Amino acid sequence: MKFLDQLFEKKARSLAQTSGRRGLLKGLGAALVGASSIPLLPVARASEGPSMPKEFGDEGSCDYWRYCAVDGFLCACCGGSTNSCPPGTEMSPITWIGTCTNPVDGRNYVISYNDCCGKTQCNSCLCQRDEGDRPLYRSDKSNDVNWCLGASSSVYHCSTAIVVGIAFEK
Amino acid sequence: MLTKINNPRLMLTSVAASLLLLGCTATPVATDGVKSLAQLETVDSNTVNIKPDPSLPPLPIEKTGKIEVLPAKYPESWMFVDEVSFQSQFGGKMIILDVAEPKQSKLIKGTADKNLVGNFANSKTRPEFYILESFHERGSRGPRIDLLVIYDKVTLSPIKEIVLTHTRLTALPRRDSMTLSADEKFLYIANFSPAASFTVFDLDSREVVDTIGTPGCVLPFPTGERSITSICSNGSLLTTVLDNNGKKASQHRVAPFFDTDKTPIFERPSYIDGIGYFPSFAGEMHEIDLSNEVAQYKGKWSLISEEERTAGWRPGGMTLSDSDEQGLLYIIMNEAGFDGSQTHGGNQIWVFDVKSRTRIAKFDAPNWAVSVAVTRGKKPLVVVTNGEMNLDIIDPITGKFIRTLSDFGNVTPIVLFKAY
Repeated sequence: MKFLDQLFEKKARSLAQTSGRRGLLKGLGAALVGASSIPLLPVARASEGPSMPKEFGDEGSCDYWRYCAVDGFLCACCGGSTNSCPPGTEMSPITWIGTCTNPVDGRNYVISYNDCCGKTQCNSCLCQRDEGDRPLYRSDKSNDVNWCLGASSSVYHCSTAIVVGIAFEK
Repeated sequence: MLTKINNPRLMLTSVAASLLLLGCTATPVATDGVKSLAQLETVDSNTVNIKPDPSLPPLPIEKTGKIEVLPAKYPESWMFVDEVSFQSQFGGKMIILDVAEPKQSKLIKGTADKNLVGNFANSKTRPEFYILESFHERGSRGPRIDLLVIYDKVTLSPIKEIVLTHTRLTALPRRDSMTLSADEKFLYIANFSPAASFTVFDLDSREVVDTIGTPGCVLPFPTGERSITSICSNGSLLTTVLDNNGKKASQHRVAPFFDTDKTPIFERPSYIDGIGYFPSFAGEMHEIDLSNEVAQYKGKWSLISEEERTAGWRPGGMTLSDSDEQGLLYIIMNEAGFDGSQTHGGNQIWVFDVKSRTRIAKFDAPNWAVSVAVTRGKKPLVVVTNGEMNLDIIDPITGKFIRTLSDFGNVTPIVLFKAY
């Protein structure tokens, strides 16, 4: 089980590192268009599946559930959001991950803390949680590193917290 | 008065000097003339009235352009403060500080810039120190250049700048991001791109010798005469043995001794007599013998009793431990520790005799402790980076808090190095 967990995390991490955000949006757009083209059938509403997972809390607050392993300035306070960088910055394609529990559905999610780079430090909403953070020898879980090393500018601005998969255990 | 100054530059100098003098607090400093002392009328402890006496001879004319220098050997109470300037990383620097200096205005001895979370190493025998820093051509934009800058300890001026490839470790500062061989012939530079390697730099020829890959293993802990040990993602060690020219001769694995998920250790050791002391998150101390050609794992012992473990005591901090020249180890402890508190610091400093593996003292950190360092000498001082990012000075013999150092250009001074 642990092996599967680690494998899943690696796959999620690989996906996060290799898939472009534009590609993701394109895929999501296609799925939405496809869904809208399906004819609405006269079935009872009660038989529909559960609603989309929800989140609760202030994404500008350090205790927001996604930030369990974060260490840096929250992009949600810097003109970006939990999953987007502020205007004019660049998202580093490589990063560290954490596993956080969404209190609304009780699931553990793999969170990718991609740094946004290319402008001086945002200096708002500094947040250090470090749950599951590991030293540099476990670089996949190390938040001490300036992960802007993967961007064209090595100047760190802020950190996102992007859901990239479901973790089986924390 | 002004009509006598024909040179406009001199006039500006004079005006500026007058303004500066006006801005300074008058203090009853003794001078050569008894008469001038008689003019000082003390109103209270902070205010002194001065009666001008035009009959006194004028001050001697001083030369402009004077620049201070530092001694070739730094006193024991001096330290290098790594000011990473986390909130403004173009402003990173090393601050040379006399932590025993009682006068605030004399705390700072000098500074050296260290841009974009640069790395630092200090020499015990060479009259120099080393800073590895990065610049983009136009601030945060444009091509990047990484420079190893060799500084003269006396003048604090660069002796030489060497352009390196863009692979240096850029992470929160630590004492082992750049290290020196035992004889200080080679400088070892940690790389993380995120592929891990280290670069060997010859300090005699001032040239890069080689970059040696250490897949899955990070940081260059100096080992024996010509070896480097790195710590690996599977809980093992990798020792790289160099030949006398600094080229790789061989590499050796030391079997895993901890689980990087379940029983992680800090990668920030302290050193005493050739042994690297690596604390674990949960409070065990792992000993690694780094005195021979290949690292050897020597076992572990506990920093805490079962009762203390149950109560929640754990080590923690950014730079959580240091050693003194008597062989004692100082470590920050947090009475409410948990997995996640490992870099948050703690409320006490514990002192261990590592030979007997016993705690010999403990004292409270007056204002929380994020990092700890100890000065050189037989009567060292403990320097604690506190929760407000100032430095608390503590006498380790009595455990008594001496004073807080602040307003020395500090923003995030999270690593301190002994100065030599």
